Amino acid sequence: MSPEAVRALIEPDRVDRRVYTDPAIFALEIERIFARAWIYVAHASQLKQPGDFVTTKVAQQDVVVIRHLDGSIRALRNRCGHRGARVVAERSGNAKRLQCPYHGWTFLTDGALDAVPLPEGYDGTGFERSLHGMQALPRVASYRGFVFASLAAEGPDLESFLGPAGAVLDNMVERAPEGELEIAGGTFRALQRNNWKIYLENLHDGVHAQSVHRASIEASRAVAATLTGPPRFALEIVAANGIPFREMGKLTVNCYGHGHSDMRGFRKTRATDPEFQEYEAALARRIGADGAAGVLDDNRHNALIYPGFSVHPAFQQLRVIIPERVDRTVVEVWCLRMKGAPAHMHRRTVAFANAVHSPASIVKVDDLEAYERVQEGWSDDGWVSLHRGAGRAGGATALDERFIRNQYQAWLGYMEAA
Amino acid sequence: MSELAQIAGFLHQEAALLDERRFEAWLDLFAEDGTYWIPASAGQPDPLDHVSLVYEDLTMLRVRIRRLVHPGAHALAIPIRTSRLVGNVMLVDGDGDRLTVRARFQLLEMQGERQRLFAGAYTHLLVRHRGSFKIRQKRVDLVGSDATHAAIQVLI
Repeated sequence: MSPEAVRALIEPDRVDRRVYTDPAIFALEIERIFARAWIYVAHASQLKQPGDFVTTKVAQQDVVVIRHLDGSIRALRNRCGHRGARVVAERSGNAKRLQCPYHGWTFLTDGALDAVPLPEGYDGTGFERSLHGMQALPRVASYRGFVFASLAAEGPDLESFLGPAGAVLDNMVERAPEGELEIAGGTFRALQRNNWKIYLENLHDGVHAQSVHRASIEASRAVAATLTGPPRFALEIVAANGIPFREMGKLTVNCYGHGHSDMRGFRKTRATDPEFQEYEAALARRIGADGAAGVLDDNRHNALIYPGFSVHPAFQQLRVIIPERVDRTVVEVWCLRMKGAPAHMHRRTVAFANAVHSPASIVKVDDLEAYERVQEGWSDDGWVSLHRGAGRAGGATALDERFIRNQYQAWLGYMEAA
Repeated sequence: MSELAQIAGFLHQEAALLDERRFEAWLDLFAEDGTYWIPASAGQPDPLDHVSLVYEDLTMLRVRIRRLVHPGAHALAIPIRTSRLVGNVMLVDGDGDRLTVRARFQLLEMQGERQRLFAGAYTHLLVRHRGSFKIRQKRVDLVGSDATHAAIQVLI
């Protein structure tokens, strides 16, 4: 696809519907966006010991992220250097050598070919051992424990790529009384029958909630009216989708380079209950009362690291967006535990994940239906409106579509470059 | 009637209430402090420190049920029909008034033309109540609890 043809798909306030439905455009997105950008692949807490590994995907390639014996983190194509069989089937584990199940070739934790059976069979054949390892991805880098990899050898370094959006990850880490996070509490994997971009375009959308979540909002209000006593966390999370437009209009949405964005406010994250006070006191012991207040008042409800990573700093959630087909996306959800925080703080993180991110959550199921209807409705030609708030000066809010227009600026930047 | 037959009858009745969408009657089977739990991984040890597909008390179950019957639930604009079989009922622990019961289930779900099959194990913690039982906890261990799931709207 020529740069002109790509550019013709995107206008300042609308996009061609084919960007969500055309398999050829999807293939190009994998090649030009997901294979070039920094993609989140693991958290360092999953890779404590040499040989600890997790498996994931980068631009549809199966990848093993593994801590090498020298302590560095490597990302390897999960593919045997012989016939190409997928070497590691598990989602996580520990191995000092990786062994292909087919002919038993083994590889070191940096991907180098270690041993083959019947090595004398290769004598005098011109077989180059160095060409038959598990191929390492050109670049792996960590930012405060968040490990990213890229299939591209060239491009901005990770810190430049993150830009101001890196502050979101900083804030997540700084919320931990010991200044460190770890993956804990299991994971969800949600199947979405929609293009990956439809999910990203909902992340800071304050307009959909009242219609999409009408049933669960009204159900939670009706039940809340029958209750006495202290507020109920899960009930509040569900009911929060029902805040009026004028309140949604006060939520600031910040747009950054490379398509990243974050959203402020939504729910206040400094609570006054005794459990939260205990946590805030633990945080203050390390960084002082003013420091703790500053970290907790930096209320970024959720953030997007374009194109495939989203975080909820206030509730310590990670979401990894994995595009599988033009109309099929998997979203993985992980929880982080704040080291040094009282145990009940992690229980809030888990309760938030259950209420909002579970594939069986009464909030999420209605979102998934809306995304699928969008995908189904785009079978013909035409334009998709991104007009809301377009061409206006001033800061954007959750009622604007500026963050989506910002995503398409990044999209064009990647896609135009052949 | 043997005790095991009485327990099996209770589980069959519970399944029938869900298939017949008599959700309020289903909720009445629970004790006031009852919980409904669908773990998100096999052998998940607890519902508080690990994520669950569902872990709800009666308050949240009331919200869930109200959504299921709400005319504005757009994801249910095409209604979901279910049929479930419950079998292999075993009393694994019985201590006076408190019983632990295991069973296997298969649940067929149809929404429009889309068909899904869920299967797995139920673990019911029951207490005796007026000649029958109340549910203190219903745990549903799906085969493939940690698999990738499309939206799950039915009570399992």
